Formats: sequence, structure tokens, C-alpha cells
Amino acid sequence: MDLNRRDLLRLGAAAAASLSAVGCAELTATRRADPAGWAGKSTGAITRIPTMCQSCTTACGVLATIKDGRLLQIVGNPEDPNSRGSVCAKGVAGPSILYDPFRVLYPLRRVGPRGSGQWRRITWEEAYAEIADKLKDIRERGHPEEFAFQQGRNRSADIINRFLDSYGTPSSFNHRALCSANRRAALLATVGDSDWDLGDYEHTDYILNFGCNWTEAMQGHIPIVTRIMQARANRGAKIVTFESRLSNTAAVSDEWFCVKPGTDGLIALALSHVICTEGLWNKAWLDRWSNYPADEYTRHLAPYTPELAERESGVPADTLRRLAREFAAKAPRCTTTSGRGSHAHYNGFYNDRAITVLNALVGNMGMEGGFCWHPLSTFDTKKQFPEPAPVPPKPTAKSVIADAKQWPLANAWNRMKVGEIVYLWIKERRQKISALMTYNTDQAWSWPEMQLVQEVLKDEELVPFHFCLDVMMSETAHLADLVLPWTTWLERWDIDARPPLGLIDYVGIRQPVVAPLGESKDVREIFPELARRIGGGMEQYFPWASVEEYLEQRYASVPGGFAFMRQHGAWIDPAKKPNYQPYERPLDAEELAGSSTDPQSGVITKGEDPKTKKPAAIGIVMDGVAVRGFTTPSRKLEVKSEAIVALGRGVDKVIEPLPVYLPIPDLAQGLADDQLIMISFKWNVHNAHRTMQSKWLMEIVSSNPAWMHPRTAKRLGLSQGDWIEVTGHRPRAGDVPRADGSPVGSQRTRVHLTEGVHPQVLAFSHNAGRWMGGPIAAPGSAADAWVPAPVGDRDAARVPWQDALRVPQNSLIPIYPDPTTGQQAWNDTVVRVRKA
Amino acid sequence: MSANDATGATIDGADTPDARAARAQLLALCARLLAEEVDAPLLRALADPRMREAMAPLDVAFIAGELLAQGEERALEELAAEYCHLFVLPGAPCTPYQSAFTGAAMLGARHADRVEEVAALHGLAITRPARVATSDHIAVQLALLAAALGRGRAGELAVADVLEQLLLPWAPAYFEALAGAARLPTWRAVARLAPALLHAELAPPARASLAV
Repeated sequence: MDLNRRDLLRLGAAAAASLSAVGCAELTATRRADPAGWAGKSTGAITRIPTMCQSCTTACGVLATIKDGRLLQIVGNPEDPNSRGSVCAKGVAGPSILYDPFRVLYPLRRVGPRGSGQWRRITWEEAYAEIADKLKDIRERGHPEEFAFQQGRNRSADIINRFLDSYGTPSSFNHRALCSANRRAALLATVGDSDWDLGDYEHTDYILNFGCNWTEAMQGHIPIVTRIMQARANRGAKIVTFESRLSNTAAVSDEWFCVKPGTDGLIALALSHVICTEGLWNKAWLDRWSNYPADEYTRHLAPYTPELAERESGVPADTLRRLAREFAAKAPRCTTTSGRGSHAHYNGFYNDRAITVLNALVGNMGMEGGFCWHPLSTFDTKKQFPEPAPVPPKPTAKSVIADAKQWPLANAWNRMKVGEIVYLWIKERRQKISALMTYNTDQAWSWPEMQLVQEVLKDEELVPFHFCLDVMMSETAHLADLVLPWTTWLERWDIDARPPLGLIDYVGIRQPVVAPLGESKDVREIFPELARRIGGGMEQYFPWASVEEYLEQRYASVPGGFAFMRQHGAWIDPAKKPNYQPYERPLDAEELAGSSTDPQSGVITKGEDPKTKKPAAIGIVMDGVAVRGFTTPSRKLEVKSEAIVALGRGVDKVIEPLPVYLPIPDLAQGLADDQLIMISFKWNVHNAHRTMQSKWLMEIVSSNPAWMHPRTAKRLGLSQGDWIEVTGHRPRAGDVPRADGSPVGSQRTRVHLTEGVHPQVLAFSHNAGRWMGGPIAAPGSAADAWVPAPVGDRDAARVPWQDALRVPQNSLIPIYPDPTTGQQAWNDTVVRVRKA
Repeated sequence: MSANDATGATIDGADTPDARAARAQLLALCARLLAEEVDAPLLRALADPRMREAMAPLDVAFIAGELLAQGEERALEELAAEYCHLFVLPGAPCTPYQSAFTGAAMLGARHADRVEEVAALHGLAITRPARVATSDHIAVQLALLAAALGRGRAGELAVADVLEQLLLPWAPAYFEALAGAARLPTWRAVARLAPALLHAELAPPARASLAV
């Protein structure tokens, strides 16, 4: 087709008319050539801005190198007292997350059926108007609980809780039960003060690690691993790991024992058995601080012999005896670590109870180099950095799903909730949901039985309105009505801190290091705007004119205030001391004024506990001295907990008062030849869906084959790289929803043969199997049924991991809560394996 | 006349002020259509019979009759959905950023730097529309070419740099992808017109003076 001169001129005129008709702003403007100006720009000043990482939940302090408004590099911030200048690959990859070519940069509204992938770009004004109208209507109908908020990682709890509380909804769903509920509940029941043990790792001489992958994935991993490695270098600390897979943590340990999943608690009980029967304990400490006589506990431990532990776990009895003696010999400079290897099981609460009490036996509780904790899991939100007034009251409406009463320990101390049952219960119509906001989570991919989550999110009757705030087009965003572009952690504000490994609380700041890309916004801007539009009194709780003004108030007690924080990134109060032996601290006269003491127990009470409406315990009289004690009902370390028994009784559940080994009912029935226990693990370069769009990180790890022991492979007739079909099943026994043994789903993948995994185990990493988000996260392959087709990007053909294995493991894993806390038993799934 | 192998369309590449200005206007229109959604005034202009008639030699119209028949509001919705599918969604088949289209790990980066360097070298300031995130957007590069072309003979070196250093390494593949992915004629027309315009600047006599 030719466009001759005459045609060209005519078409050019029509084009000019079109452009003038629309008053279209020119994309460029001419100016005088100024090469010198450009040269000046090209050598622009480099600035370094401190902020806090959020590529995972550890929130390390980092320094962002900026030139000409662009982020060039991330390094650790030496002024951060927790991470002390170290940062992992996920943090260093910050630029690839900020400038992810496949980020969501504009608000999107669905224009086809939900999940069809048909969208149009809208303005924030349109998005605000639509959301505010819907939420206002729900609230004005008097049912605020029908607005549900589903969060993943949340480091902006202050503003989020303020919004949800002022709205009046209790339907705030989190992922704690998918993470660490058992660990937290075990600590709270036993120690009381904290739900997160820290360990004085830097000063320890011996670590027994129960399935905690702190070199790669544990919350706090950089602060932990750097301290442990220092202890090893400076003190010759020994590390012993019990884990079903050769993780990088197992690899750096002095000894690794490949244990059968779910037996960590029994190992701890067997070690305890040796310590008690051989008198290796710290009896004086136990007599003073345990609420249960040491001799009685010894009798309780009688059945838990090293021989029983050997039969169940695979760790030789003689080795267990040796390890018990070594551990006790190093006391009090010894400690444990535990993670999902021990607690992400049906019996996980008891496992971690046994591990916690193992520490008490040797008297390392709160000791230098021992098993420590800090009462604050973040900065001091009450005294030093209080919420600016007015603070909204807590909602009075009830949420059946958030309350999840059939799991008595889920909400006994903190509102941990039971995340994995949320979508099952919505499907069962136990609570009406009229609007759902998804925030920084990808439950359609990362929740167990993800197919069920997808089914519910797709159903416009069950979830009539769903808006999603995320930096990427996740599998969950794909099933929303509105997708809102969220700022990355490099473009937004937070006041933040994590459990302090130095045992002294601190405060940090997350601040924008560059302007938000596209039209991305944070909740700190979105929620005040929505509150103003919803009205009805909500707006009064957001009186400040800017985020900066709010933060100036929050940081008022820091010398130098907000400006100091912006310059340094973190602050620690030099007057504070490490939280050693907090239970021995004498109560002062002011604390004791107006108190009374129970003559039998010695427990000192004062005032009323706002939660229980009973007298509030503040301490205990020990040898005639009023001290703080543990923050348990007895004010002692509770080897025996009557409180958990009572909580269980309230919902007709039997909860054992002492640490016990509860064989996993489904596994106790034995496994057929083609059945294995599927476990899940993380790599050091990935964190949920958030890192899978980083090309830098995907270049390091992008595949998730099934790890299998060579002996098992031989039995099943498999060789390295063979294709297999894996089918996950619901449990056949136990106090679990739908425990009928029915299949959850099947996946086809290849086996990776390694002696670094237990022979009864099939191990999958979590960092694969997304089907949305562009060609980095989901390059597409005919071999992978979960990726419908190449996404159409020309680059897809050049992605080096095009043929990587991508198994969405959550399509195999059942909803499987621990019957006490509701923690998801990630590592108990029975799968059938056959050659494909 | 010059032939464009990719689309078969040819556009007069005459080195005369009026022809250059016409080509610049067409490039600017392509840039506009790639930079943002079609709004009501632009829809009306594109649907104007004079525009339809002027496009006839290229065998394509910007706006199909069936689309207009649905009414302006519905037509704009459909155009917006198509625009979003082609250019906005993460993983869109025609992501308009050179960095993303060519598989760079990060949006903008050296590609955006290069665009800004070339613009600055030739005294062209980039005024990005609000919804263009980085300067390596195809619309910015086409607009730079239009601006350079609009300078007449004085802009010849700028035209050459914008073509050779910015557009030619990726734009032909880009418009090929657009031709394959576009469902509505609006962007099929751009996919036909834009490469022909680029080719017109490459071929003599438009580039004759650059031969030395």
C-alpha cells in the first residue's frame, strides 16, 4: 500500500487536526541544545538514604544509594541495632523489585467476568469513589463485620488497625496460623512474657536447632545468623540441627540429624529425659522458678526414652544421650532455636512446649548466652511512641471467622486467628462477606488448598466486592474487581522495628528513597482518604495533614525526632539494658503501692486485668522479695499449664497440661509403599510471591523439583530427573476439618535425588508455580499445566528458566490446622507418588 | 518512495518541509495513541470521515464502524480495555517500555537514560505525560522523532540519532508484536503506520544528506 505525497499531506493534515482537536499536550518540547547541562546531570550527586527493608519480614536496616532520583544500590545500614549492617540477597535485590517491569502501576477495574483478565485503567478518583461507596453502604447498614481485610505481611499495623477499628470491623484476617502460631502459643503458655524467643546467640556456646532454617528464611534471619556465626567464630559455639532436609542451616551446623517430620518434640522430651534422669539439670533454678516439681516432671518423662525417640525420629539413642550431656554442660550459655520444622505440624504446639521446657531444665532462661526473649516484638508502642490521639475504640461487632473458637489457643493471648480456614468458612457461609480487601498477600497461590481459595474469590455471591492492593498482578489480584497499585518498601513510610536480637528494643524508620513509580500509593495515603469519604466519624481519627506530620508526632521522644530518624534510620535508647532475667527484677515501691499478695501462691496483684476482669498479677514474692516473675498465671515458668487445659475444656477439647509427644494420627496409621510425607521449605532468595518477579533473584533460584532420597527412588523405580505425578491428600484421622483422606490435587514434576532428605519425605520449595505476574514469575511452558500459555511477552522466550519446574505446592496441601492453636500443619501432608 | 518490508506500507519520504511536517504530525498522532487511552475528543477526530478517507490508501481505519455503532461511551470502554490489555497490564504483549519489552531486569534503567541523553544532546526536553512512567516508552521515542523532524533540515542529525540509537534496535519488533496482538483497528493502524514512517526517514531522499 502506497501513501504518495498527496495522500501523505492529506493524512498529515488529518493527524494535525486530531491532535489539535484533543488539545493533546506535546510529549516533547524543544529547547536550546545544552550539552554542558547534560554533562552536569550525568555526574549528579549520589545520596544515601537509610530505610528498612521489607523484602521479607525481618526488616533489616538498609542504605539506599540514589543518583538523579534513581535507586542504584542497597547495602546494609550499620546503624540498625538489629541487622548491624548486614543484608541478604532479597534486600540487595531491592532495585529489581522497585523497578520490576511487570509491576502494577495504575488502578485497574475489571471489565469482564471476574478472573477473565479483562481490565481497564482507571483513576484513583474512580477507585476511591467506588470503594468508599461500597464500604459506606456496608457500615451504614450496621454490619461493619461484612467488610473483611486479608493481610499478608503487614509492617503498617498502626495505620491499618486505625482504619479497621474506626470502621468497626473485626474481620481482619492474617496469616499467623500459616506462619508461627504454635511457636508463639508454646512460649506464651510457658514463659508468658513474649511470643518470640530470641536467644542470646552472640554469647552462646551451644545451639540445638529444631527445624529452624535461620540462615535462609526465619523471621529475623540476618540478625540471627550473623550473631550465631560470630558466636561460632569468637566462642567456638557448636550448632546441632534436627531437620528432615539438608537446608543451608543444616549444612553450616556441626552436626545434622535427618529426622522424621513431626518428631522434634519427642527428641526434646528424650533429651529432657536424659537431663533429668542423669541429674544434669539446674535443680536450684527449677525449684525456684518452675511451677511443677522437677521430680514429678522426671516421672512424666519416663516413657520418653532415647530409645523411643530413636524408633520414631531416627536419631540414635546414644547420640541423644551425648547431645543432652553436651547441652547441659554448656548451660546457661546454651539455647535452642525452633521453626516450622518443629511447629508446622498437627502436634506442633506440644513439640515447641517440649523444646521450651528443655531450656528451663538447664536453667538458661533469660541468661546471658541462653534462651532469651523480649517483651516487645516491635518498638515501644505504648510508652515511648504512643499512637497520636484520637485513637479509635476496638470494634464491638463480632467475626465468626476471626474468632475461630473451636481452636482454643488461637486467640487466647494474641489475636493469631486461624488463617487457613477463612475461605473454607466463607464457602460454608459461616460469615457473610460483602467486601474484601486483600493487602500484600497472594492467598490464591500461597494458602493451602489454593484451589478452594480461588473458587471462593471467583464467586461473586460469596465475595461480592474484592479490591486488592499489591505491587504486582498476583494470582489473587487476578480475582479482584479493583486492583490498586501499591508502593514498594522503597517508596513508602513506616515506623517499624522487629524483635531485638540485642535484647534491647529500638525503633526504625522506613522512608521513601525515591518517588513512587507510576501511580502507586500506600495505605498511609489511601486509608485517610477513604475514611474522609466514608465519613460517619471515621475521619476524626485521621487528623494529620500528611504522613510526615503523623510521624513527627510518633518520633517525638527520639532525641532529634523525625529528622534524626530520617538521617540515621534507627534509634536505640542508650539507657536501656538487655532483657536478661527479667523475672528476677524486684518490684519497686511505686509498683507495689496498692497491691495485695496471695499468701498461698505469693502472687502479687494490683488492679484489674482489662481482658479477664480478674485481679491483674504484677509479680510474685520469692524468698520474701517481691519480684516481677514470669507473666504467666502462676508468675512462674509454667512447665504445667492449667490455663491451656481450661481453655480446651471450654470448647470440649482435651489439651495436655504438660509437654507430651502426640504422634500425628494420620502418620501413625503408617504409609503405603507409594506414600511419602510432603514437606515445604524456603530458599534464602525468596519470600512468598513477593520475590518471584525479581529477575535477579529468579536467576539464582527458579525451579522446585521434588527432593527424594535415592533409596526411596529405587523402591519406586525412579531415576534422577524422572517425571512423577504427586497427589496430595487430606488427613484420614485427627481433629481436622474434612479428615476423610480425599485427594486435594495432583502435580506433575521431576525428582531430584539427594541423600539430603529423609527417606520418607518428598520436599518441595515454595518459590515456584505462579501463573500470573509476567514472564519472570511465570514464564510459561507446555509442560506445566498451571501456566495456561506463554504470556505473550517476547522476552518470555529468552527467560533462562523457561523450562524450570514450577509446582504450586499449595495445590497439594490440605487445610490442616493444629487442633489447639489452628497453626497450619504444612509438613504433614501425605502424598502418593507414581512415575509419570 | 520507500518500501517497508514489515508492513508492506510505503510512505513518501520526500525531504520537503510540508512532507516532513506531515510525517511529524503522523508520528505525533501515533505517539499520542500509544501514550494514553483514547478519550472522547480523540475518538471523534479519529472517526471523522476526513481521517477515514485519508487512511484509505493504507487499507486500515483507526476506528471501525461497528465500534462506533455501539455508542461513544461503550466505544471508549472497549478502547480502554484494549489499551489496558495491550500496554498496561503486567506482562502485556506490547508493554510500551523498551526496557520491559526487551527483557531488562528493571524498568527504565539504561534504556531511559539513553533516551534522555539523546534528547539532551539535541536540545529536546522530554515532557512525559503523567501516565508514562519512564522515558524509554515508545510514545516518548516517537515524539522525539516527530520533534526532530519538525525542525526541518536542522533536525537531521537528531532524526538520525533518535532512529539509530533509540528506535531501530527495538521498534520494528515492537510494531510487529503490536500488529499481531491488537484486536481493534486503532492500534493495528498504528502498527502499520508507525513502521512505515520510520522507514520513510531511513530511505533516500529523506536521509540523503546523511550519507556523507
